Amino acid sequence: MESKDEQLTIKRILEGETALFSHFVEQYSHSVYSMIVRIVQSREDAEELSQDAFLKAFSKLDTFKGDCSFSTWLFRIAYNTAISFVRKKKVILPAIDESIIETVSDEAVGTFFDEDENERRLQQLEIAIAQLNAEEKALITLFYLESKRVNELAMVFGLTTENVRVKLHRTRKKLFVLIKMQDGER
Amino acid sequence: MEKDKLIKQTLKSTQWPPVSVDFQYKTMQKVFLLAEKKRKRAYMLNLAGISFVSLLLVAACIYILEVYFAFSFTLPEIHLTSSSLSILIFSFYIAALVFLLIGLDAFMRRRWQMRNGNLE
Repeated sequence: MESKDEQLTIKRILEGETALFSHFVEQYSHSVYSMIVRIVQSREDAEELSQDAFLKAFSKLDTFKGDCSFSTWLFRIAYNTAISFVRKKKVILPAIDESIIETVSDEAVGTFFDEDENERRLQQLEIAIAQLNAEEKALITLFYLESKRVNELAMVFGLTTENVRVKLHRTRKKLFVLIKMQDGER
Repeated sequence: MEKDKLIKQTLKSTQWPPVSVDFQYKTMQKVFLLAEKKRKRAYMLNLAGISFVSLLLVAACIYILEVYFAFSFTLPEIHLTSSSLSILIFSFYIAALVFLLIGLDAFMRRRWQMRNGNLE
């Protein structure tokens, strides 16, 4: 849906045509769910939280100013909903020495992740992704899976574009380190 | 960073069960409920606002009439004798009885309608 169409639809919803909100639910339910399910790692919780996110979006629709796309705004709500949920559950993640991440070169990471896929690497990467924190999981899901641009991610996470770039670089390096730890190299 | 095909492939291939088929239906049901709640809240707020403004207007009218037109709102003195008091009590009794019967009638009608509705 084009931004102009979205604005028009939102205007009509605010004027009382509630049923039109189903367009947004239909269009974004899968993307919102897939981001949340990666953060919370549970289908039931993810469905409930996705529903909460849509309900929050509907009740706050009058505050949507249109300075970003509706999907970006919705992802911000969904991300905050999922993060609040995760914070209540204290998940223990493996601690990684920051200095190890700093020593990894960009070239090594770039070459590693551009390798041809093989089953073992995919499995290792899947385990490594599960070990990332909630923000990192959401970040890579939106960047790689939903193809969100850096400026859109900045809006979703409430960060500057530069911060998002740094976090993305750091997350790639962290994934690299986590895989190397599985190989027993670090 | 734009390439990273291994990460993309892993994210795509990670098998999470898809969102349930009735997700959209269930979400929209809740959205409709929320919309109805919002509508009712807006109605109540409007009603409260209108009532408040109306009271304010009445108060302003009374103030203007009293201050600028020297209009007096003092109630006439009423002297109640024992016979007039018994008539007053009787009138209140009849009024209370009428209200009770009207209320009972409304209650019975609603029950009948609900039972009829349930049977259909």
